[in-house]
Amino acid sequence: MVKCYAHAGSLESGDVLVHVAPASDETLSVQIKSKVAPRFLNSMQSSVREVAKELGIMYAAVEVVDSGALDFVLRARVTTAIKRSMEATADV
Amino acid sequence: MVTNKVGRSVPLFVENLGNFAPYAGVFVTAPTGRRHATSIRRCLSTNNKLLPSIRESIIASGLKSGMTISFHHGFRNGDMLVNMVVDEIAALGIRDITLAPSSLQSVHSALIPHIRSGVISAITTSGLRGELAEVLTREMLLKYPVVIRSHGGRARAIESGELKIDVAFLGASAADEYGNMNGVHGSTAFGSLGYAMVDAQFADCVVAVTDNLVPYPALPISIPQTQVDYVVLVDRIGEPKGIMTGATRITRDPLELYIAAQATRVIEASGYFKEGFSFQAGTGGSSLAVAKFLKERMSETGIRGGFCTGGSTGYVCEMLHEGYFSAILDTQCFDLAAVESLRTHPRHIEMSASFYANPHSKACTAHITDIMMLGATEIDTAYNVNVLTGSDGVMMGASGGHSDTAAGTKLRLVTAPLIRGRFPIVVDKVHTIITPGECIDVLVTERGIAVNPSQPALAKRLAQAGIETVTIEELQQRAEKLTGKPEPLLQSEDIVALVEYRDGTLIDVVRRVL
Amino acid sequence: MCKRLRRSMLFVPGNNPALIIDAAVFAPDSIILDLEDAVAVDQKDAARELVVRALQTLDFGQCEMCVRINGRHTPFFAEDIRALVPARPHALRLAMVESAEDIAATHELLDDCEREAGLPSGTIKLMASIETARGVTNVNEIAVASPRLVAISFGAEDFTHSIQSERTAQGHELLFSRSAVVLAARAAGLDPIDTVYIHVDDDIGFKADVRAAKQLGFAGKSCVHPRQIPVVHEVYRPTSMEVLKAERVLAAYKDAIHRGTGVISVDGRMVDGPVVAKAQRIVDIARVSGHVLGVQV
Repeated sequence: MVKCYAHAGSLESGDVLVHVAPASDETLSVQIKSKVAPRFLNSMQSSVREVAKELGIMYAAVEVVDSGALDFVLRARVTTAIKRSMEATADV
Repeated sequence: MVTNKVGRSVPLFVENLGNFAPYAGVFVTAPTGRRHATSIRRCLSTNNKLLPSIRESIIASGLKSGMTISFHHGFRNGDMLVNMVVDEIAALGIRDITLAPSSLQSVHSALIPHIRSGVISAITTSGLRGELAEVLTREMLLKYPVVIRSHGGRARAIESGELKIDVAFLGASAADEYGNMNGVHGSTAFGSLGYAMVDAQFADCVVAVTDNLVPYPALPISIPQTQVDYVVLVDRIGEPKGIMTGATRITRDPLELYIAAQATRVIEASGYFKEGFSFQAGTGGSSLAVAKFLKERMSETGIRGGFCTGGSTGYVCEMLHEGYFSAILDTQCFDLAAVESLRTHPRHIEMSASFYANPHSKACTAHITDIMMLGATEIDTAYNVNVLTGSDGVMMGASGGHSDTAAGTKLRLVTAPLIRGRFPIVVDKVHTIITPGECIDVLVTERGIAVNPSQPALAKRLAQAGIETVTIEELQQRAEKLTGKPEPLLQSEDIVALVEYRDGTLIDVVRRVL
Repeated sequence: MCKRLRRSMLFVPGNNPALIIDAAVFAPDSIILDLEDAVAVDQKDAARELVVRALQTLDFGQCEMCVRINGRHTPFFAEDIRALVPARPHALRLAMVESAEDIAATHELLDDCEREAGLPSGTIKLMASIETARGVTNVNEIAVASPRLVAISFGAEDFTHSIQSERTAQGHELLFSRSAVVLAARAAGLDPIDTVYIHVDDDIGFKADVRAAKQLGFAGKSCVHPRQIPVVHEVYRPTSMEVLKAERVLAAYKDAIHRGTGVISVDGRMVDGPVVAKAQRIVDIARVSGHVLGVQV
């Protein structure tokens, strides 16, 4: 369960900045802003959703600001952001 | 529409621009006809060429709606002249102008309102950058498609009369009242006037614009009074910070240095690195670092070079001064150190874009040079190179001297990182072909080197030197293994730009990106 | 098969995707993905996740993949090991090792995690980093504290603090400790690795530092910037004369084995075990350095 807002990653070249917040409704919304858009947008969408599913998250508001990250970097940052948001006392 | 020799669909006729032949090969089109000639004029002892303002010069030039104006791009992104002139043209109620500068920079995004209002209805240029390029790729803004020409192709078109310039507004950092001008003196000095020389020779009316009127005669004379109709003194012609830096620094990026080191090994093994070799350093990234590594090898081996060509940087000028090269033939200076060298060194001389790259001239350095460093935004498995559009299909670069030098130079090396951001630079088909694959010999990346299969002798020499090479398909796979395959670009059928090969044929088009 | 070389060990900040992706391009012998000093305390989780996925996804070629984990007495130690084992790095480098107990505890945790991950016991190697006075005084015990150990490295920055001194160009304050690390490592059959040189632009100073390290008996150097790698490899590169001589020694040795003769002599000098081993090392490095070897060995 996403309990609070959290983020992970950075705006550095090759990285992504992932924001995770509790969903306002029963959806998993994923917004992606990318300098390499639109040519990896679909792939990024699926990766984010896959990771959320793996972590058992069904509802969340995820925003990704991409600076040209490879897929494993995106997955790593999404994982970290979601895990942070699942901790009750996350203060990031 | 018809399919040309590199498999691209190109039109045979475009309204207002006329007929086009499809690209059919590097040297297929032979020159015909005679050079374009301008009217004969005179200047009496009582004539005063000096006009009080740009506005006055536009009126005096007889510029009317529908005509073509030109500029050179020596001031790079510090240019103020193009915007100033077009503002005045708009204020005078003149419309439907074809803008024909040698290139455009992001500072020229100020032209967008003038395009929307119809003051400018057509553009031909080598390059487009910034917001202007973005808008021109995403909207059908101009009445007619942009015509992208290489530096050599532009010179050819002007000399043959295919591109007829009615009024050329040529900025100079120093000029006298009769129009002798140069780019090496003054606070806005930018160096070589190479890209202005062809305009000065063939435009119907030439207006010299300067912010530094010097006592007659303005020396050195890069463009002579005999080609100039009017002279205008303005407060400022360019923004020095935007024009150039003090000295171009060699990259410290470890990846670019690694690529440069690999490229240097290839050059050494190629067989072209020998006494008297000529060299063009190219710009950006790894290219200048290659010059540095070559200098080290030249120092160790005692090999000395012949001429350096293209554009100049302080580092390459230093190599001239230290005796590593014998001369620099210069169309464009990239930093103030190069300007200083051009101003003072007897073996660093200016050359026109025609001397540099015109395929229909009696000799151009692009056909004489031994070793050329090239860049790429993309390269495909047939070795076709794109330097005009980015991974999103938007125009952001220039044709420049790329296809010119690639056509004639003996060793054509493309250096590039295999991946930029998340984008693999080796693709199935490049979005826009600027230089056909038959003109490219070798691709050097940090994750491998690929030799064009059409160059088996070169491949053998590299193998003998212990340089491992792979196929370009292998490089593509290495890249895609990391990045995944990009989704195809969404584009419309609308053509926003025509890419003219240096001989006037159409090698590709740019379509509107959705 | 030749023994793994550890001439250059490139540190790569574990939370920096761009540097991780490009690290193998520069072909260091080893890459150390750093979860310790290079990562801020509030980013340890992010770096850990990134490094694990990098190990699982990227092809690092011939490089030995090591991860510098957080020290035993930090809150991150156990989680680092648990997360990393399934990703199968070649080795873990443990910072701030001060006692054999530090190594033994790490060894045991690795045993548990390997078992859980279904890996053969001992798959993941260990490197101990000695960075304090206590570490130096215990280095002999540390060196034999686990069969997983393959290398011992020396960290000068933290060490100089721990002895309440300051670093100098000559490095006298480090001499004994550097030698102590070399002795303990060599006695235990491990690779001693020298400390980093942080003045990245000082090529001349760095080359001198590497030469000094080689002279002291270090097998290699920790590097903080890719440009240091070729310098290290150049210093450790045997000369053509050395390679030629080594090839002749190995040829004579092979010949003697073949003929069953007891004593081998080359150029009038007796050749025994250590000489043959040294010759083999020289040939191994030469092969990797791109020397064209004449004699088949």
